[in-house]
Amino acid sequence: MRILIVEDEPPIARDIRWQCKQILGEQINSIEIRQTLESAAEFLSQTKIDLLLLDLNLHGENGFHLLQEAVSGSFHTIIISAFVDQAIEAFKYGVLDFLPKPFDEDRLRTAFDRYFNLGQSHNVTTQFITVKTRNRQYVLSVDDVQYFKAANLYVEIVLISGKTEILDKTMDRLEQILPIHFFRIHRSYIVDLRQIESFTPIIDGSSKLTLKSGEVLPLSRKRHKALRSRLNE
Amino acid sequence: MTPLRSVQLILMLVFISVVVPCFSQPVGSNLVIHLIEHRVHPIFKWKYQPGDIPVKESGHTEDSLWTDITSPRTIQQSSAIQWIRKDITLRGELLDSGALGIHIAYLPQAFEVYWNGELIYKNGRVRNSPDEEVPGTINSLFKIPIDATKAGHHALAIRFSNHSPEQHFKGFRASIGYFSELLKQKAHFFHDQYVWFGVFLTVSIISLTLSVSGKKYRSFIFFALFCLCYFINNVIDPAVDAYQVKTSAINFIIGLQFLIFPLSGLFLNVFFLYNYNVPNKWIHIILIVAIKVMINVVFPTLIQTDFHKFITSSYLVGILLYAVLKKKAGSAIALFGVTALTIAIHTHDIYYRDMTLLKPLWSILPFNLTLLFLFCIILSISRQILEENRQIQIAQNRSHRLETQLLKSQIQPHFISNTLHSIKSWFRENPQKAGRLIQTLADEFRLISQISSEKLIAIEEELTLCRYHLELMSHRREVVYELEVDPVPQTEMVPPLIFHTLIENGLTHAYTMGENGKFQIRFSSRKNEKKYTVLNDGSLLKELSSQPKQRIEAGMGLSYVKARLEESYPSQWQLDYGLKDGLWEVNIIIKV
Repeated sequence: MRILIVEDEPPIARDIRWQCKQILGEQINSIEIRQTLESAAEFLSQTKIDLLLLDLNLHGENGFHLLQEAVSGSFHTIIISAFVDQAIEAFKYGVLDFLPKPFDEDRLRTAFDRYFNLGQSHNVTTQFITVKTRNRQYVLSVDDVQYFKAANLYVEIVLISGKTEILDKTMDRLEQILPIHFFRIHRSYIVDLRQIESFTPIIDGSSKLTLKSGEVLPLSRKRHKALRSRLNE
Repeated sequence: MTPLRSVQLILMLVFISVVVPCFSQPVGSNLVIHLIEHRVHPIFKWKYQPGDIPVKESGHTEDSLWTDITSPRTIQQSSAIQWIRKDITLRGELLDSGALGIHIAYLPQAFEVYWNGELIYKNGRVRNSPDEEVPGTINSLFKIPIDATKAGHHALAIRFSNHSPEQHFKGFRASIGYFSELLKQKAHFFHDQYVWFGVFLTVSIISLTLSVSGKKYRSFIFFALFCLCYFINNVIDPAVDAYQVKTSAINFIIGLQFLIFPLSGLFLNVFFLYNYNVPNKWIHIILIVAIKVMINVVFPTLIQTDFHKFITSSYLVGILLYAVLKKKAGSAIALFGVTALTIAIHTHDIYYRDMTLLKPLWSILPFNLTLLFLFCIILSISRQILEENRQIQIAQNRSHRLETQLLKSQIQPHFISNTLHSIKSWFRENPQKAGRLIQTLADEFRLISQISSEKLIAIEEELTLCRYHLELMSHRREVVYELEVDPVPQTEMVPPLIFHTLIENGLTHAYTMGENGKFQIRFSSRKNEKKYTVLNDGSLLKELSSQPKQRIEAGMGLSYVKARLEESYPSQWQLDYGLKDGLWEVNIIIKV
């Protein structure tokens, strides 16, 4: 696991690093500290990481710009912040967790658990997804999405309008931060259940799902049962 | 001011149209009395003879010998025995009510009254020399013999001497009517005087008490003086009624009475000027005094008090209109009251001059209107006090809010959370440092809770707070922040957290990561102001200074600083900031 800590106060950064090492031990491949947005951006442009620990109140920076930047990356983001009222807002952008300072190993461990637990959880409140296109980034609402489709190391977002966007995340990571009305119907597809028009079972046990837009997506055999129980909830 | 001026003009015109009729004297030098009526007639337009004449001739209407009196000065010239005369025509028959009577007031010093050449009344002893002259009473009320009051023409002549140069004929009045009516009039008069005596004395004492109860109410001393003037005025008449004219004390008191009315007007005007904080008060005061003096010297007619009243009333109404325009508390009620008083003042003499000018119901108007005026002023004052209390309450609430803001900002997550998390780190790296910093944090909080409810604190406490804060921040950021302070007297007081807030601003906006900083606090004072300057040498503010002002102010806790300054030094402070000689400086200037 490759971790980047972006925190402007050195003692705090060192403590977080120490805590990470305590919890993850050998699982850490690298753990870096950067104090400013510029130096962090520069680091990220050259190195891939798995997890970002970000202080929203970085000296002199606008917290939410930072946040939107962060969640557009391929890594998971955990926000560390002094302002608890920012938590609700942060979670709307699809962060993995929000840790109010000061926190200790127990709390950090809970956050790491979220990182390692694949699949969805019930209390995800993500409303926005940030998409980066060359030098631009913009935010789209989760309600505009029909489905997500895997595309190599990226994810293609298919919007209700028919437009598509590219998201720099893996399906697994994406699945962890999507709200419960999204469902992974296939290794390569996550769909908004509200967009499903009808089922068409196929002889081999799998099905075809027809969306409101007319598109047809595959539902794998494995996930058929899970979908059934999800729909019954 | 233009709308105010035009309103004043309109008011002047209104008053002229009301007052001028009062100014004008009744037509005809011949007074005609219908015996069937129960009225009391004031006697005007006397004729005057500068020297002594044989008594028998006083009944003759030899007009060429007599001159019309146009001003008291007509009489004052001479100091020998003089005469004044009035022709009266009686119509009809005397009623069962009894004899006619005459009331004379303020005719110095001694006089003899002749009716158709017959002596009917003596007041004092009329003599040619000052030694032999014996002054009479100020008020005289006597009957005319019944058989002398048949229908027809009659001559009323008064032979008098006045060897006291300080006596003048201000306030001289005479009236004729049924004796029983004159008595009633006198009784009414005294009755009114005694009631007003009580009312004005009471209000004066209350006003006086109020004036010493607080700096804000000092103007009420003038209202107390105004009431006192009215009170004295209403004491004098009954008091001097039985006295002789010559006593110097009496002379003084009478003279005083003629000073008192204009003086009361002056006091009332001054009261309102101070109460409503009218600008350029002294100009108004001098103007009022000048006008009154000018009237006394330039237009000394027998009815001059009307013009006095007119001037006082317009000025009063003018001041109150200004107060109403400026939305001062209670001013509208006061204006209403003053209007009532104005009407009372103007109808007062009409009442005494000619009772039929007003219906019987209206004759009680001056009295009731004056009471209405007092009531309105009291109401207006209570409104004012209520408003002031409301302002005090608002100020207190603001103070509480500031205190809360102070406390909240200090237990704000950002400060306490980051500091505590930092301490966690030091526990492992340097436990001694961790311990010391926990102590500093605790000390800072203790000090804050001590000072939070104060409006002003000793400057040493503020500086200590700043030093604690900078120590913590130095360790949090692993840089060195220094504070250099000019020496300052221990007695100096400042609002809590003003320097602290400015230093915190600097820490947040002026320095980059890893940059050391030096803060300075400088003091300077001039004749009537003192200045605090907080300086920092941050590199970031150099570029920030080129940005628009709103952006600079929005991010900083300046609103807290400004609110604290306004709380302790209302409208006497200034705050400015900018880049100077490579340093960012914030100046707080307070007028002492």
